[in-house]
Amino acid sequence: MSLIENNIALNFTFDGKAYQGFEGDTLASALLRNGVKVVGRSFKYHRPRGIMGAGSEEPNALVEIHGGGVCEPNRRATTIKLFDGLVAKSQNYMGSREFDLLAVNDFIHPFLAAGFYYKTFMWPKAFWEKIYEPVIRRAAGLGELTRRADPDNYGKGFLHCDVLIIGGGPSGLLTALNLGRAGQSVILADDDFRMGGRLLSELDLINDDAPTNWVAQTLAELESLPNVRLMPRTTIYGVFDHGIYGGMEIKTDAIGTSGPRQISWRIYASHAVLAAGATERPIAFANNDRPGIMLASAMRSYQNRYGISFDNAALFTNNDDGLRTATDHIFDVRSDKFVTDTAGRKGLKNITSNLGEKIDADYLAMSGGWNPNVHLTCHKRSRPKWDNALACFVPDGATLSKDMSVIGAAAGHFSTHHAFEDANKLSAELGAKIDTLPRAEDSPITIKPFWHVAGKKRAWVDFQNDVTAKDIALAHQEGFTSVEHVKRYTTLGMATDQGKTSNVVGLAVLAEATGQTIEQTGTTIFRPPYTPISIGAIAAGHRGQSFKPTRLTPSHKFALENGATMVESGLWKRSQWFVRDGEKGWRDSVDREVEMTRNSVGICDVTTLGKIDVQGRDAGKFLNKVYINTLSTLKVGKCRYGLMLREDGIAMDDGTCARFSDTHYVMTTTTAKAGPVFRHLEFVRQCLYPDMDVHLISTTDQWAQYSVAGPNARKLMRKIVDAEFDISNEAFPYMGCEQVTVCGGTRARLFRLSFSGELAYEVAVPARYGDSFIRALMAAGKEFEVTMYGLEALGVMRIEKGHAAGNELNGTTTAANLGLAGLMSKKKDFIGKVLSQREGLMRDDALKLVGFTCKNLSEKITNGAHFFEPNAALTPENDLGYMTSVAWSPSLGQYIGLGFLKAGSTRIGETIKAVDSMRNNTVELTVVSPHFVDPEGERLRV
Amino acid sequence: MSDLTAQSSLAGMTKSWEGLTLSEPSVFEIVSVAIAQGRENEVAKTFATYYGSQLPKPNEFTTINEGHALWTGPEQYFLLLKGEDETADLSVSDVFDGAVYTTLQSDSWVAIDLNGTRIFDALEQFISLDLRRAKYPFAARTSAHHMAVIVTVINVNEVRLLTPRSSVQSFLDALTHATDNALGYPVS
Repeated sequence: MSLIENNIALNFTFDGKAYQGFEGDTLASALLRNGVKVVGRSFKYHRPRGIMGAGSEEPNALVEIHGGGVCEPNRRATTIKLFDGLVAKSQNYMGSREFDLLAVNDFIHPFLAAGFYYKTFMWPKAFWEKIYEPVIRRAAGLGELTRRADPDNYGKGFLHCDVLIIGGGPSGLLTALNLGRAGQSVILADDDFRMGGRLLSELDLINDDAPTNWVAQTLAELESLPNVRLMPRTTIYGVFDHGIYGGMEIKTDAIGTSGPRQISWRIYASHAVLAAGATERPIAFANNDRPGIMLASAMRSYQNRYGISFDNAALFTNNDDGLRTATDHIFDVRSDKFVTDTAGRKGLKNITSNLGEKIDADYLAMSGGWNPNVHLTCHKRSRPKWDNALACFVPDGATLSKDMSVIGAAAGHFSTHHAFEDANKLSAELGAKIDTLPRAEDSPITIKPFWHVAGKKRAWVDFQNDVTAKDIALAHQEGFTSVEHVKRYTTLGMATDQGKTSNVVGLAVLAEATGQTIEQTGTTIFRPPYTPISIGAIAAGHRGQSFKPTRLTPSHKFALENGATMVESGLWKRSQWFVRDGEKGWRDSVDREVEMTRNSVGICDVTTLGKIDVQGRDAGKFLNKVYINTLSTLKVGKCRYGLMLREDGIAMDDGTCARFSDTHYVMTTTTAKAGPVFRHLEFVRQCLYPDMDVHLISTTDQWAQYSVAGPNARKLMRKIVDAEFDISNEAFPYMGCEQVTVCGGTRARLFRLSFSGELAYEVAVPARYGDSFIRALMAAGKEFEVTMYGLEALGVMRIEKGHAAGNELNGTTTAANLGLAGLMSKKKDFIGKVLSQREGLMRDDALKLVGFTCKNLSEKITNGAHFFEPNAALTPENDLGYMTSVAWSPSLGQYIGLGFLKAGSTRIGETIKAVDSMRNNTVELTVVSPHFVDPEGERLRV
Repeated sequence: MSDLTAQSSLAGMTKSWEGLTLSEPSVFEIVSVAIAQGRENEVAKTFATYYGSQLPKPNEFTTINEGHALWTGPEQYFLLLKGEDETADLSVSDVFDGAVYTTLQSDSWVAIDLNGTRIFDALEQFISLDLRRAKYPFAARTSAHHMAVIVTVINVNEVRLLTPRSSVQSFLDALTHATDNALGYPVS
């Protein structure tokens, strides 16, 4: 009944040696087919290890797969679907898989028991960082990354269904068929590349026919139903709130192919059916980890599904299910016959029994009973309960989430008949009409709980983390009695397999040590992910340039054409400066942009500033609440600066407000705070003042906006603004605003605002015209030698002018700190008013924004420096404040700075010391007014 | 006649895969309409009279005589109007005689039309909503790849996405990536 397609050969290499497998193979089955027994080395003792399982429970066969110049470590050979050209390598050794130098650990194992790190590397203290840790790090760990970028493409997606069925075994398939026929929207996910679960590996008939035939017929009908989605190779790795399930679909194991390698699905399901089956557990006995010793169910999978024969094999079991495995020798604990030891370092050679007999054997199948795969029931905090009759943990219906049902072997119902019965019963509960129950085996559960063959030699419990029964006993001896503590002390169940094969055996060994029952001992519970998932798939397309969205202004192309160096400003790309021929460094460009703007005219793209249209009869009243100053009295056609506070009285953002009509204001915010401010305003509107007639809408993207600044700004704008609009100083003075047309009829918003301190206009046109408009502005300014200027020049000019910006509105400063206490209206209430007047914030020696220049003009001021009295010790108690913004001022020919100084406004003219410990720079400064250029504001009012 | 030239954000982009075509539609105007408090009934009547349709409810859009209307928030709607008219907000305001506050939003958003039989195969790797089972005509505001998007499902073979202009290139890149993953490489 093998499901291998022998006519399709697949070539692959393992540790550089060429092998051949077939379509339908996993890497594990192909290695076994080729007689490869040792597939890697164990984690701590570096013992040779072979294949133990046949699915995601595999603890031993961790390998690297290579491609595209990188490798992916820690892949289970049992879940890698063989493909032509696969390059796989074993891992975790120094030397080679066959001759591992670190195997010395196995010979000194008495010194490497649980907790040896904590006990051994205590002294000398200095050795830890330089010797012990590097050596341990080199020796420990599983697999190694190439440290190169992942060349693959990953995707993410979203699916919705009435019922998500997790597991494509007998119960999952029949439930999907029942619900699919009933017209429900069904997703059936299974982590195997072939659906069918244990039916692919067992020989018991269904409806008097081979089980694989029933699987094939069922899948054929499911594929024909448009309301059913079959998702093989999709692991449901996590259960989350609100009916959300994480699914990881593996499209291919090959690395560096063009299509998506994996897709991370977020699945929204009204109901989930856990039909994830069960995992067989091993028995702990001396040297039970030798290559050739595997789970009995895995041996049957390799025999029946993959067509591999195991000559000279034996069986060690405590239950009837194990007896399904065809072997030459049987050790059944129920007949008081059990395995006490094995021999054969790189492959099993013989078995010793409790009766003293020694039997030659190449393979040993072990069956300690089955554990229902309850993992996903735990993700929403359900705790499994112990079932004495079945000798396993089963889901507890009392704590199970209401939107999840568990059926089949996952519920402890191990026979195929019982699985089908579960499926029909649940399907009826979910509204499906049930016609038939397939005839299938209904073997009773006969098991004698048996966990551990006592002895002096090491008996492995957790194969992946190399935890033995002795380690658990030692942990108990050293006082660790809680299962959670034992887990962490020994690392039991903490490997990448999350203890799928080891947890219950470990609990049983601990229970033996404590003299308690397993029920009394309790269990740890499981967390997502059910199996390891790649970070690349979680990130999906969010990497490199696509890590986050990029926002571009309409003049982006023009800026690049004109030598702009771009800088990220939030999500925006903004021009930092514009390089012209002959300029050797950024300072050359910035100084030129400042000088040309101050001497003639410059243009800056200010599209990124947040723009919010505030409309309604109560728009003015609303703005009075969010700004510290009064906006309701602003006349139509005028602009006003505004500062808004958070509830705690700290400055939140600043900007200008323009009034275009009685019911229409346009607010600007800083680039960085556009989103948070809009969210804040909506909260105020909807929650604090729902009775106000006011509406908000962001118009940031609607308008392409440019600042035109400099003595020749008006001359330039006169060529742009249509003639019917008078933009003279008399008709359109400083802080004016008007809706105009430009360039022969294009609608525009015009503001007389200045951030630079120069005569300036801000003009906005619909974004569709942005590119055309910036070209028109530059063409119009050619006769004035207009320049584009970027963020750096903008920053220099605002520092020269003493305007606060993001560095000053840094989430710790108040209006008083900023020198804007006078703006706070005493006649009205506003958000943040009460808490802004806390005693600590109103102290006479509170920080004040002031300016700084160097005593010695050859010295440089640095941002972030802290202020001290010239002769004061550098202690926190003596700290007088800090520098927030610095610039080389082309206008003044020296470095200037803005910063917060205790009682700064009363200390103008005094000398202080600025200490920058990070850059080891100390300079003496003179405290000056923050308004370095045109303090009277005459230039911007001309 | 303006000397300025209007530019579409995606320069009339078209991309095709087997079963799906993405394209930037020709120009249309978007006007945001917010109802003045206390004038809701008056606006509903005027809307029905002038546009021949009821105001849309949440998660739906209605066809009006000049395009579509969709709900965007409490007492707030988008009108998607055929043709190019950068003063469309003023015209709409006149219809309601001061009972609404209008804002031109045409330049804030870029439309991408999806046509074909495999739209939902692509969009299930892009948008978290259950569009396959959405009740048509369907409209919703949501996000995709951390970018805002307004989805209108006109029918099973026709969907329009609106996304902010400034980030539209990132949006298109992400949509293309999702579509490549779902449908394979584009045919043109």
